Amino acid sequence: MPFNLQLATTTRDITTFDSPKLQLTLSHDDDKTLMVPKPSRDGGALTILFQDAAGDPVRRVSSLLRQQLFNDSRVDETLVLEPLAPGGSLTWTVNLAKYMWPLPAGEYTVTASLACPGETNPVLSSPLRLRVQAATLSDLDDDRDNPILDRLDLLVTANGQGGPRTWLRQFNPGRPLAAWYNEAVPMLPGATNLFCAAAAYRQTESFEPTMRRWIVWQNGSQLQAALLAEGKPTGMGRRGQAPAGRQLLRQAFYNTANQLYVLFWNPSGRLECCELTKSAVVPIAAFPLPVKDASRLVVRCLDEVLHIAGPHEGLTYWTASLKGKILSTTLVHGSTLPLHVATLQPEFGRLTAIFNEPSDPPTIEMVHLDPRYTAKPFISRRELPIAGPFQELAMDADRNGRFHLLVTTTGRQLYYCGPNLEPLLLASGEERYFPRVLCPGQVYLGFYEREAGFRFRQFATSANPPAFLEYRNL
Amino acid sequence: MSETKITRRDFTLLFERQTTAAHKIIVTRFQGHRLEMEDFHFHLDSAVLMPDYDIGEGGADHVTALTVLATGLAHAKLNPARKALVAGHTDSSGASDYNIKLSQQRADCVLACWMGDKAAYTNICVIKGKTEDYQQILKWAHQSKGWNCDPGPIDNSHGDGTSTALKNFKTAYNAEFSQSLPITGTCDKATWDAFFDLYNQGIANFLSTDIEGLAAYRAGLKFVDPGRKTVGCGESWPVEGIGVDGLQSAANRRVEILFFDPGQEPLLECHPAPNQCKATECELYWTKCFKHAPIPVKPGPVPVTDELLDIVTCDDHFAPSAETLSIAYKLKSLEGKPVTLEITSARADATPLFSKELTAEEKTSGDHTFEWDGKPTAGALKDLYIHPLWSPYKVTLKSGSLQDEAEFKVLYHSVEISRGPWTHDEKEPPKSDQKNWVAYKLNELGFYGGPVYHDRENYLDKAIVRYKANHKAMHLKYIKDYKTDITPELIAALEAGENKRVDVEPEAIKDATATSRIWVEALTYERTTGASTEFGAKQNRVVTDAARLNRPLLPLEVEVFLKSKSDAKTAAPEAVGPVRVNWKHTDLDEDLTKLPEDKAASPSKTRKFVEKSLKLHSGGPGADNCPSQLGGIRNPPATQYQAPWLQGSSYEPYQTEDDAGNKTVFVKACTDKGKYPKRLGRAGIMVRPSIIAGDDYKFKAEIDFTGEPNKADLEKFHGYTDEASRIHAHTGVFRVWRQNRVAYEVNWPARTGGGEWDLIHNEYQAAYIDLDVDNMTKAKITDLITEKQYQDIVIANTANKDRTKISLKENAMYGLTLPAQGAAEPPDDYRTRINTLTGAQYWDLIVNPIVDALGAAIRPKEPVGFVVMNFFTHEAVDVKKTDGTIDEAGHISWTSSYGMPDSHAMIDMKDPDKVYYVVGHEMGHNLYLRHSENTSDKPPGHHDTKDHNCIMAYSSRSSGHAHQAPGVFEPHFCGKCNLKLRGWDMDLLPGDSN
Repeated sequence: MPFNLQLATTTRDITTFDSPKLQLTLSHDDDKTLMVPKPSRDGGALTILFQDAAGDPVRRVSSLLRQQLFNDSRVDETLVLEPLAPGGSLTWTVNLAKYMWPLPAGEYTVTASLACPGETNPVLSSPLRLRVQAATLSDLDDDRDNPILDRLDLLVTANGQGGPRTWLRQFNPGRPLAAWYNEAVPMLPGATNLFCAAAAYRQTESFEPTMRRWIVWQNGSQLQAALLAEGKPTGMGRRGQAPAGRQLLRQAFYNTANQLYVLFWNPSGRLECCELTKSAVVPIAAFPLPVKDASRLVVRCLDEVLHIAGPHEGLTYWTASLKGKILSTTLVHGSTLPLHVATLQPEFGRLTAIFNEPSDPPTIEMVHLDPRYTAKPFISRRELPIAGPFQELAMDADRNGRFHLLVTTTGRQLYYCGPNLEPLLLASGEERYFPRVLCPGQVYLGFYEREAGFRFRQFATSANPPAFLEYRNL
Repeated sequence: MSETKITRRDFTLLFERQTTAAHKIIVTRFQGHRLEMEDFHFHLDSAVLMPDYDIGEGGADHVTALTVLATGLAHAKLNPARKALVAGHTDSSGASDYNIKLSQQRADCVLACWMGDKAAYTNICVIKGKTEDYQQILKWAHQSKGWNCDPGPIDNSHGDGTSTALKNFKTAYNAEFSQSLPITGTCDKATWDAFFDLYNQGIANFLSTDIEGLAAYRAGLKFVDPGRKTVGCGESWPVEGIGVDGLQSAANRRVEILFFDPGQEPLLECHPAPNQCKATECELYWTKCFKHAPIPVKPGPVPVTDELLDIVTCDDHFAPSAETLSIAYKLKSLEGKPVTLEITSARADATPLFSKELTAEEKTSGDHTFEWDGKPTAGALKDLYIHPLWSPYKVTLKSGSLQDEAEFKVLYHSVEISRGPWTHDEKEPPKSDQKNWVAYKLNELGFYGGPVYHDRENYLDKAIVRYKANHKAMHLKYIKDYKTDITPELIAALEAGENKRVDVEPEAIKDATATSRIWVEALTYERTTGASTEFGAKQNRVVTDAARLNRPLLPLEVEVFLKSKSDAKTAAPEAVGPVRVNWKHTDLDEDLTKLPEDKAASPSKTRKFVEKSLKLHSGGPGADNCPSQLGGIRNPPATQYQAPWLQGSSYEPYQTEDDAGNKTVFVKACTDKGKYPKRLGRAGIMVRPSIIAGDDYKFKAEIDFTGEPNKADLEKFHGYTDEASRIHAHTGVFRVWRQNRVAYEVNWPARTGGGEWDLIHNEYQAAYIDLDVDNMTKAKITDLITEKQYQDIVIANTANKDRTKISLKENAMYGLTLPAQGAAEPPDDYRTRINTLTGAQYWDLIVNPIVDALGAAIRPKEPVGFVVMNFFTHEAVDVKKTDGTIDEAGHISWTSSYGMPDSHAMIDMKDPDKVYYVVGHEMGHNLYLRHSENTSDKPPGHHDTKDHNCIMAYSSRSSGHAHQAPGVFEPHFCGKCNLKLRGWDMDLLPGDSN
């Protein structure tokens, strides 16, 4: 066999939140040019096998699996060959964030295997060892927007052996099984309260905006921000003194000119919108809102119109101009229960909310509606046979208006509550699970476990019993 | 165990059989038919045949010699193939050799009388005649003719009485026969000649004929050995006692006229020369070799008179109402006497069916012919026509003691199958009778609207919905929205004959060698619930079929024809009678070679799976239609005959009845002329095949006389020997086919290289779905939806809200300019992002509304039929490497093809697989098929798990099956898919082909 395949990585000790990058180098000692799979179009010729400490295979990934993890349409097995000249070599990098979800804690042997035309057996690399250590998730902020692609970014902070670190991961919300990227974000010491800013625009000219994301954090009384490209610093930053006596809302947005806006709640009952410039926090507009718990407000901006949803007589929806004028006020759902959390996607006219009454048994009310009232609202009110109180709640509604709910309790248990199903206990033992639910078509449940980190898993609700689907490709 | 049949003759033959095995050897006897000339007719040591027994010697119930002779002639006429032999016998008084000679002379005398050989008779009489012989003949002439020639006691002594009797006889004879015998008291040769003439007259009288007619009888006689028509057996074969051996003679002076069918003739080697008999070599009377059945003979005396009443000829059969029965008769000396002609049947009551007193003109001496139209004047058939079922009929001509009879029949000739009408009068019901009018119209238009006036099983409602669904103006998007009401629009459409289609191809109705198709719609799944549940479950196709389809209806009729006098097929519906017509069907064995071959490049298990499934529930040769347990109508063997018929009285005027004993259904021919004049002489049935494609039927109608009291006669008249010999007609083969069509090919843009429509057609053909791919409309996307419609769809369903950026392109589905590749964006990321943007975040979101828009544009023109849309996801774009060089020029993403509700198949032309495979696959979804291998949503139980060649699988290079590689894979429907497409309940099919 004339081929030689080398496998290397920069870091062999990682955490359950890391996605390593593997560098592959292919060469051959034949005296003529050979055709080899083109790395960007290899039709699944390259597979990477992960074996645990016992030597048992635990995962095998390839470009075909990568497609499966990003889209649930047909896998394109197109194989394109390219020439590799005598004495030449071909080097490329495989970012495992795109090929798989992070590895659970443990020790692994990684081997690459490349099927080359004319070769009976695939070309095997030398093995590479990886050690994955658990880290404790301490904070998670998610942001879903649509500057060109519908994207979901998670900003996660976890404490491992080297102290707290933060990663920015970007998912396709339609199938969040692997990430566009998962990069550790270099942060300044003392950074707290990190959150993402959302794109307040949609353009269709370039994919560049989908790779860019502003993140915002506090450092003492300072408010700081940085623009990342695929999780890596671009050099663009913002810094300013936060106004006194205001409550910083963990929501921000930016426009195509990279003007970054942050939001404060003025205890006098006003939502204040400020621009975070390179050196200051500059007030732009303020909106009086009859909201008692500003932490439950959700604010999005699209094309210079603010879309606000918050707890008032249930759930009220406002639109406002960036010049400080309330454009509309609509009570979209009346409820006597306290609002727990709301999500808003103005580009899709989609508003969801969970109301939670910590009664015995606890009562949950969920709504999914179009705040413009162009579609039929879906409402569900359930008394959950789960011992409360509840600590975390996450919900999404599927295309048929059925609600899928994750509930964590102070008893350290995580339950799935699906339509027409008794609550299913999914996990126990963690103090917090940071649950997230996405139901674009299939049901994806995201939650944290110490040994596995945070990941989304596809949950087959129609299976009997409902079960997670794995794509180990073994 | 082997079985060999031999006769005694074969005992000298050698034949071999295997030792150590059991063999059955059956010895059969030859069969003869015997007429016995009893011993009364010969005096001791005489060879002269007496014409009759002496009064007091025999008795009124004894047969007379003349009767035996006449019966022999009649028997020979009725059985023209049989050959005769006359065997004489004596008692044991006298020497054996003498007895052999005497028995030969007796046989020769009988033969002479039988053959009309006066010279031979007279010769024997002169040699072997005795006084008592002519004394008895004179007494017979006195008694039968009334002549004054009674000789007194028969004492074998020629006295005065005998002389006087001879003189008187000759006087009377000369007068009647216009002869001039010398009037003497002696019995000379001329006297024996005269006696012979009286014998002939008696035989002719018995046969109701005259001397010429008698000659015709005699001309047809055949003999075992024409050179040896008689044998003398002497005293070798005495009778054993009256009745013991089937003989009536008490003494042994008998003569036998024997008949033999061809192949059953005796060898006469025991009579090597005249007057020789080697009894030990005789097989004729060796009971282990031959058996003889007596031929019945009517007892009683034979009148010998100059009055003549003779039915000369009577048609053997005729077709009443179409022709008349010709009865030719001859009368003599009956003027002034009443002469009656009667026609009777044993099936009728005592009254003759027809009775007529001949007029003076009709009974003059001479030849006459009476033509009877076949209409009885009395009894149950009064004013109707006689029909075959009461055959045989008897015509009797009688006058005083004279009587002659002839038998005739009405016979069936044949049956012919034709397509029956929907109503008995072949007219549509009045429109005021709305439901029945609609049912009639729907039937006429090919929609199986149900039995008119006898709706059942929601035939009408389902047909109304199907008609509306197929009608441009009444078609609705969702099947659930249809109502079964009869609207003015429906009435108008039916009245105008819109949407007429062929329900059953006609060729096989009349042509037993043809194959015709019975059409059933191949339904595609509808978006009835807003979810995919209709599509999803294994049995949903069956459930939908049951809810929407009617079993086809094919009214069949047989027309029963009669046999004319010249044996020609004759339509005589009024004379057919209520004959029973059995309706039977055959389930032909499926030709599995029409299914995909199992070959290396395409290792199909379809044949194997289908073959296995066809055997389920007692299936096999002659019974491989879909069984009732799996959605078909094939019953268990005991009731299989019932399957394809609409039983009961739903097809007026016919009543379909069940004859479980004979495993058939039957219908009696219509005889009600007053109520059903157009159905007279016909027996119809409503065929109701299954809806399962591939099921086939060959129908047979046969005339069966079961239940008729004279069944044996009727079967004999019609030559019935077994079921195959019954009068019958076959149809050709009818096979159920599902039917659909490709209505539109929508091009966004057009496919380069064509659509492989013939291959797609062939794939469905294997499942007996006839997919019309020759009459589709080809359209550009812009022909069907406007840019504004498209923009509205995109704005409403995607994140793209800026109308100015959205356009409806003719060459690609994605309506915006593709985003540029990021500066540092790797080529595979760019491709993945394009795929995500144009696929999951665009195409997946607009495909349903696009289908709706296409449906809205197309369905008013083409209410049903597949809409196959070819598309490219987006316009071609160059993909660059991060160094700016081209990684792939002109890239177009491959997103998703879909088989959608309402028969829409959306085909991404970038799919690397063969076109027929991709299109056939998506249309398979339209037809309720789910995914198979290499897919993420393959449900269990939908496919033959041993077949890695199913078209509902995805291609894959990594599946472990090399033949499944993209672009190479040549799949076909697996056996389970094939049967599901046909309409089988796949939930109950085997798991795999092994």
